[in-house]
Amino acid sequence: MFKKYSFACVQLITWLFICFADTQSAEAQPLFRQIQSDSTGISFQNRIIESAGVNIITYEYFYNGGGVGAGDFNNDGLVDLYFTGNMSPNKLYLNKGGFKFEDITRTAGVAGRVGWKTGVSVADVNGDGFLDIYVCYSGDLDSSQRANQLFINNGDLTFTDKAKQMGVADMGYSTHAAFFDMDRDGDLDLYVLNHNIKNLRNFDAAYVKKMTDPFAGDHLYQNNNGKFVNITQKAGILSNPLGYGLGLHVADINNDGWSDIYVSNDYVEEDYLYINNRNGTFSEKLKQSFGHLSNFSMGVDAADINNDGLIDIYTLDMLPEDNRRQKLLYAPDNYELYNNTLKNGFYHQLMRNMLQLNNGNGTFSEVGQISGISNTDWSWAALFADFNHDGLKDLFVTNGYGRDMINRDFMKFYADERLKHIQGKTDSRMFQMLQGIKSTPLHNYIFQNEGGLKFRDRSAEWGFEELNFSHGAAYADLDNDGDLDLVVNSMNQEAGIYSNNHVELNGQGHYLKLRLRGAGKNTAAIGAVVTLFTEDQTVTLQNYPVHGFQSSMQTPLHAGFSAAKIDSIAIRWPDGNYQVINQGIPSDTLIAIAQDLKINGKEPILKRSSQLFTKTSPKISYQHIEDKVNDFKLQPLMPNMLSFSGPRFAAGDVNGDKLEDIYVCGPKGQAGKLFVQNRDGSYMEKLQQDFATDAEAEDCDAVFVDVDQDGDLDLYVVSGGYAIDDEQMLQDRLYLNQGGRFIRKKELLPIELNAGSVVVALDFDADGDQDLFIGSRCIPGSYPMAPSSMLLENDGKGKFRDVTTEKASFFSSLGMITDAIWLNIDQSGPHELIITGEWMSPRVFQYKEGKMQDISIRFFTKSYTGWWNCIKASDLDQDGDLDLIAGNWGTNSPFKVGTGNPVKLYYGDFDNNGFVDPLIFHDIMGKSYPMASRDELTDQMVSLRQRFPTYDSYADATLTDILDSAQLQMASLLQAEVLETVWFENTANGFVLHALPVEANFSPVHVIHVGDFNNDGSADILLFGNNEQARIKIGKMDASYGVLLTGDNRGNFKYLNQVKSGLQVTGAVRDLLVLPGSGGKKILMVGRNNDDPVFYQY
Amino acid sequence: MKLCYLCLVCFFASWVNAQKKVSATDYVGALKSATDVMVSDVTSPVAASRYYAYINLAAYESAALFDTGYKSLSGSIHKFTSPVLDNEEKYGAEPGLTMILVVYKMGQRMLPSGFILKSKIDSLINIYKKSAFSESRLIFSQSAADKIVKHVTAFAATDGFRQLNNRARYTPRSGQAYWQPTPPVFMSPVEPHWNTIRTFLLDSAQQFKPPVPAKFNLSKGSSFYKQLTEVYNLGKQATAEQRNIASFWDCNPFAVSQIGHVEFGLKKISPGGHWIGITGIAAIHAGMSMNETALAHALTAIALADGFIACWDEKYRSNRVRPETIIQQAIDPAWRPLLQTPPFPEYVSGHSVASHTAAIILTRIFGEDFSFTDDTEVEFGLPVRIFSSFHAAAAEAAISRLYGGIHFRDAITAGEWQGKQVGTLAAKRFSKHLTHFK
Repeated sequence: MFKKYSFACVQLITWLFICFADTQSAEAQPLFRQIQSDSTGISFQNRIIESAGVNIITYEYFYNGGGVGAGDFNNDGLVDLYFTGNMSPNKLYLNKGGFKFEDITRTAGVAGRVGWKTGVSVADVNGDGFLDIYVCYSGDLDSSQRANQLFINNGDLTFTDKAKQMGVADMGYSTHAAFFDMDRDGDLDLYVLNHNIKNLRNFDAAYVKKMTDPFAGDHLYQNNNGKFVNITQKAGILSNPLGYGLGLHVADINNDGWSDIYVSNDYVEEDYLYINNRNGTFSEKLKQSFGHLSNFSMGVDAADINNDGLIDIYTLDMLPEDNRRQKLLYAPDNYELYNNTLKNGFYHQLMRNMLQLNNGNGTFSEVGQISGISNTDWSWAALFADFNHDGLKDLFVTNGYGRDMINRDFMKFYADERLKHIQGKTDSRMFQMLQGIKSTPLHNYIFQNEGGLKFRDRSAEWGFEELNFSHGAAYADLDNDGDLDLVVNSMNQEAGIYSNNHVELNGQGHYLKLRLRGAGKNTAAIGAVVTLFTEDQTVTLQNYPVHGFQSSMQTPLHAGFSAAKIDSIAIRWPDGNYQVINQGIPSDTLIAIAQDLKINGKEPILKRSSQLFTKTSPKISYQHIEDKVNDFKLQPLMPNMLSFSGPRFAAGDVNGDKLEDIYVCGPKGQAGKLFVQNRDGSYMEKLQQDFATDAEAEDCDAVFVDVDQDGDLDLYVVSGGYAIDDEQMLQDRLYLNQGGRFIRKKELLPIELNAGSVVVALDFDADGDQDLFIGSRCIPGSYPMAPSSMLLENDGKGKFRDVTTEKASFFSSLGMITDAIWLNIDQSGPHELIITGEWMSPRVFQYKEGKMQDISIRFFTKSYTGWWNCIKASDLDQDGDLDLIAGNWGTNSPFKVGTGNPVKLYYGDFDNNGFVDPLIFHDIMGKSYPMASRDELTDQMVSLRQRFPTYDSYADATLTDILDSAQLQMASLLQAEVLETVWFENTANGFVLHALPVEANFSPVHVIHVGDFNNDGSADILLFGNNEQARIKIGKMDASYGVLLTGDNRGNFKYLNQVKSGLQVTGAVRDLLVLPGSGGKKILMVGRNNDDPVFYQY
Repeated sequence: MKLCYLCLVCFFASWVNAQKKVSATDYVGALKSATDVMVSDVTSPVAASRYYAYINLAAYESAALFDTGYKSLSGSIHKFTSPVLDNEEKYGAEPGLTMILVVYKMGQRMLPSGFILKSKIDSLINIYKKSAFSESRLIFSQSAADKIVKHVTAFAATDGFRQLNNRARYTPRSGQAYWQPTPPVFMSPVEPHWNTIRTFLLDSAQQFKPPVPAKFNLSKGSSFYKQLTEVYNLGKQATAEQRNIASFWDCNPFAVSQIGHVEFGLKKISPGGHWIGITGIAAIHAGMSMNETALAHALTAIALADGFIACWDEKYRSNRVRPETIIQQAIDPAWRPLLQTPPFPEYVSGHSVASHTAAIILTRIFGEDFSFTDDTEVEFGLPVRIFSSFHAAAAEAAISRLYGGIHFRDAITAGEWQGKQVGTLAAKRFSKHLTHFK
């Protein structure tokens, strides 16, 4: 007893100490400290002066800011800095050490011309060992004034512009440029990122997309002995007028040793993902690789954020973090616009930052929201780098926009009012109107990578609380103390120099800086990939200087790691040669490695473990075709559409040949289909007249069950749906098997018009015949109201009686049921029925004393309300009882419940017009706010237009501002406290919730399958799902390609990556069947909504 | 003739002091305050027509309660009963003040941003408080106004408007012939279920069904294609005068302007609002009394509201594609109409319906050759236009939609027909009341 107590005491003290120490250090000394210009000598400011002739209306990229170039221009071992000013002269500062700099712009001759200067790229373009500077120009100016400049370093800190003679005086509207060796010929080629200055929008798109524009489109130049030749068209680079290029990143994205290109585009034009074809051309593969992307893509960075050796891609957008700005700036969901854009051939684009996690097989999972880095407001530069030497790359994001141009009140009220009051010519009126738009400076964000794909916002603790408008940024170890400092180019403010104090403060972890020297003209070995191996980490860095926004950092590679020692370093040089160093590797210092051409190594081909699942040819020919309704047209405030629910499958031997046959549930307008298995394992469709007759019903579930005890399987089909034209179509159907023909028997079922979701065959009264439980989903058009679920009792001859009222009266108000299982939880005594549903906690029922009893409390001691989609039982820890796996909404969405604020749904007929109003509230930065925008809410409840006449009046509204006390009194409340997909361990004290790996929560889970897929004797879990029909603001949820979690029979699960699992299922999966394969193999049939099923052999 | 609505308050001050009777100008000024709120709120043409109808109905009922020379509209309007006042109110209230209060308070109660009108009411009452008016007269005027407003808004509450947001939002039909959302912002179509709103005078929204529009047919020589080409060519070759006409009658409550990320709406009065403006100009020009002014407005506004119901019924029956959409698909992807295409189906032209409905009523009130200077659009930066008659103005408003590139010719012709039908029926139903203007 005493011992236990003292232990607890020590723990407490240790904990207190840690807390104290933590807050102490945080308060005393943030990780970064800004050093002012009077000390550094860097007084550069990107001064922007608005006038009637030059402003955001005459040039729409007026507030995009300047860039930062970092590099050692005199090879003295200190990183010098170059800044671009849009309207003001560029500046070059020579690093004198100790954070002291000298302005040498004038003697160096690199101030640039008068014009509109944008990005800067630093590289040794002519291969003489001295870094050169490439400066981009744009603006609403003459093309001659837009010629980009290439300042060639004369070796003595003077520079000469040789852009024209070298062929790189590009006259496009340039944002940025990157030098890299595209063809592995040893010299640097050039990609120039351009943008249009005219306004073209999606309605222009369909035909404009096919055109080319010499100034707006991007350009690719091939270096032929120092002369650059434009090979844009030949190389397959798109150059249409819709290119609003804002971000450029070159990296080896598919890990094949050749440089690929990522371009982020503003507005409707998609980003471009150019994969290097290794023959001087590129293939644009964005749509094949991503499920969705940022809409107004701005800056981009790419880095291996989870140390799996693969390059992940992060694009920035404009979604604010806080509720107020979201409500003020975010346009309401417009399905017409969204669909029109898709119809015009564009892709799924949503306004938020996207983190595209590289699955290594050509697909990416977008996980920005689960990682916590999706909302950083109007953002420009993203920089991944290890600022605290723990081996994980952290993230720095700059942001801010000169004026809140997209403020909804401005759009709807102020602009018109102001314009009516201002007299004068159009130009000056517009200019005066602009002055009325609010200017909101923002703090930059810095996130600590905590591993497990989680980033924690450290902006305040790490020293980034200042509010400003920041654009280009660079990291570099300016004082050579071993950690990465930050440099930020801001608008109308002195450039920010932030000293990283990690090493100074004796922070944990170690670092190694590597200066690579390439063979040939690519002296800095741009394109090299370096991997450092320690006992517990594998850190991969790609050597490309262009990062973030309009900036580049041609500086030593910088790796942090937690172990004391690096075991080995592997380098893949730009020409593909591979070199391994495994001796004498120091830590906490800078090392230089030059490519030794005598070492002509080949990259070891890693023995690929064979994939567990391999895609195989279709076993049935089937295409699921949804009638494309839009449920939000009926109830604009629902979170998801309910109409897109299938296809579900049922399996059973319908003809007594001992082979399982398949029924595929048909959506509205498409009949269900029966596929009969042949001896050779193939399937043949067997037409059924009665199925065709019922084609207008939406089949939501089905089961083969012998209801009339004649020895063959009959079929029960649940009818449901949300957007229903004919209520009669909600009647469930029973088809009796009459020698292989399925005949509908209306007289055997009670009349009911409940929109169902699931059917379970069960002999609840243990009288030997099969009874049925039918779960109900939603009253069509009245979300979240649910019709009664049903208990149907079989009279032994297949006639069913609805005994809900007499034997399970509470089934009439269970809620919106999604799934149900009939099982014996403790493997003894009577069976239990477990149900899950939306906005519900799982519930358990048992039939006792002539009635269904709710025994949930015995098994679930806590409330686990969630948006549960499905449930499966299996003994996961091999202790002899059944555990549960429950599929939920996941955590990769705007809805957060971790902070103790559940998602809440208040509903009732608040405006007393006979229809239910569902109002969802969810946590934003610790407080509960309405999901609906002002327009969406007032469209549902017109009376609220008087309460919230402006967007501003709604921007801080919470529950009690929207509903008065009388309305609140009549409101019903539903909650979701858990959104994670989890497993529940069956213990003596009921079910205990356990988390699954983060990948389980990438997307909503709708299908769970348990089996031993890697043949190690323990149960593994397969999860499928996705949701392509959420409201626009939630967006297309497609990050799951089939998640395989391998188990160890002790309840621990590990994610097996997609390359190893072999799974690559796109789309919304709604059911799965296991079919027999040849040679003892099995086949997974994975059913996808509005698509064909896919088949995997294992 | 140039009106100054802005100094309404000063006007009242002088009026009270001079013990002058409330005149057409005061009425028009009060109504203009409600118009301003509607413009600011971006009220759709149909919703605006409904608000105008109830506001002016209530104001006229107020006149009828105090002046036995005027009869309630209860007999003419479906399901409408006249409001009732206590004798104290009837004899204690000041009719002019009561009517102006009714206009303001109707706006306050019905319009989303009606709260803006509170300051108008407050300053009006303050002026009376400072004047020689007795306290009780003020109190009775207020309670009479409240009673009338309550009665008419209760009537309005049963017309189906509150049920509109329960109906399914519109899903565009597939097929080239049908309406699709239009640039720049692809707004959802305005009020697809407006034909479920109770009519004031029409037997039903379908009473005057326009002829079926020209069959969708893209082969050269077809009627549809000829009309398509006409709009397309006009878009390229319209004369300066045609362009002026198009702009003058634009009446788009919310034309969205997009420049990069800068997006804002430029607001104007709706077509119905424009004709209410013309009614005011005419009433003042004719030197009408307050009661005559209220009646003229009520009759015009109510007829307009029914015109819009009939028109909207047809719009969502034929669901015809806008010229902008189909010209871009069939002829020239870069073609843009002169005016921004309003967000609802094309057939029939709402402005053609509204203008001819109003013109028939106004002609019956003010006469055939009533010439007037229309300065309604001056505050929106457009010049005045002079018209020799209401019919001339209506004909110009109708054809302006062709010049503006937002309608085909048959939608204008059929719209004019429908407008005249509704106007003629309204004049018949109002024949008793129209005798006031003989």
